[in-house]
Amino acid sequence: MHAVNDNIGTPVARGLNVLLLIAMVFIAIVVCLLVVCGFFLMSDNAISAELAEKLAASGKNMADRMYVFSFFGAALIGAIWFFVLRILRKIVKTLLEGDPFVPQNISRLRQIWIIIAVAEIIRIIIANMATIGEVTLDLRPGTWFVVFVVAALAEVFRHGAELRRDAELTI
Amino acid sequence: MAIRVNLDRVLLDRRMSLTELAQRVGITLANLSILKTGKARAIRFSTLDALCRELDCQPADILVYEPDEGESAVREAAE
Repeated sequence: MHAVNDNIGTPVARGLNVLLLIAMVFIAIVVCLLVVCGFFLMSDNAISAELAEKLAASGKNMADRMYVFSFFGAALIGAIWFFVLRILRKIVKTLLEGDPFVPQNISRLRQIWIIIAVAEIIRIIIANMATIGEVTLDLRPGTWFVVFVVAALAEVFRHGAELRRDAELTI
Repeated sequence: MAIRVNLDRVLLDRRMSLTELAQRVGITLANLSILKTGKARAIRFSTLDALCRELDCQPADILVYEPDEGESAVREAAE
């Protein structure tokens, strides 16, 4: 991987590179906090006992200690999003290097929509694991819209990269 | 690829180097090497025109069609 020269690339690409880095750092901190909270609530202490009481009082049908897994589940989703942003940043870096139509970006875009789709399925499973007695199919149209849009764009990009390769090898 | 580029043979006949041809035609040596080694996916008419002009030959002298083994097997099966 070449070193990224900050002086090249469009202002949007440069801005995205910085924003993605900030978002990655933020998500990494949140994931760490969620994992720490999860482990903390697994042990017997005053806070976990109080939380269990409050959840019972609120009428939510939570399985014993299963709410702890909500934290680990959220941490897992956060980690997945971290990897999505990492892949996206690699794509932006190729843009900053001046050539985004490299073969690696074809698989990167494909990875992004597959990871988002898998993360959404995991989220639905975790949401159902935390509660007992009720199975809810909480489908988020926005997320699936993003999956379909990225999948379509990945295919368009693949075709564009092939055309680019054809143009490069046209003498 | 069933199309073979016979550039090296034509160059040998004309006693011309690839570098000299690249200079005459106005194509980079790297691109001409891609063409010569058969890695090219397409050739522009303008390139073919310049090559034929400088080498004083016909397109058929440079480009030769040789069916792949798979293609000839399919054709024989069809017949």
